Amino acid sequence: MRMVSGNMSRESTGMQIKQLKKKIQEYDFAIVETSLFLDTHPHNKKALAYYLKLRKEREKLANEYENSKGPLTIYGNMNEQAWDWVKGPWPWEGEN
Amino acid sequence: MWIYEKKLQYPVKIKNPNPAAAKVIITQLGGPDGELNAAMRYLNQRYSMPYDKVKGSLTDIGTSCFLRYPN
Repeated sequence: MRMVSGNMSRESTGMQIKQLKKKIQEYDFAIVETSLFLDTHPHNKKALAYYLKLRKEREKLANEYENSKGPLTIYGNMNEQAWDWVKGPWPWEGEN
Repeated sequence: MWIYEKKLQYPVKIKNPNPAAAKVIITQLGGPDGELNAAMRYLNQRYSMPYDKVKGSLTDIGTSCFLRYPN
């Protein structure tokens, strides 16, 4: 695991990168679906609570991912020594 | 307005590449009546919508069409 400056104080889930990425993809799917529902039901308390729960958990996982593997967006390049964003493989190149 | 994630929507492993199927799929995306055309309509029509709910839906659904692009 490459150590970079950033959120060193966070607990790690102990997951492997591939597992971590898959978990993030799962949460993202749920978040997108929930957000589409909330667009037309903006005051639905149950949906809002669900969204909040999803987002908190997703944030934790994404932070861990970005601090160990690399950025998910251009805002997440944690490595202060290099622009990891451009490093391969890119999503269509079969690394999964 | 524009931000994207460097990850697929879900893990993909193509065991048997099928160019014929790929052709059909890409037509669904960019061909006539494809998702891209729909996305452009939604993204342009949201400006004349009077209701927040509709502006939100049109924007979210219109931009979600780009989810189809592996990026």
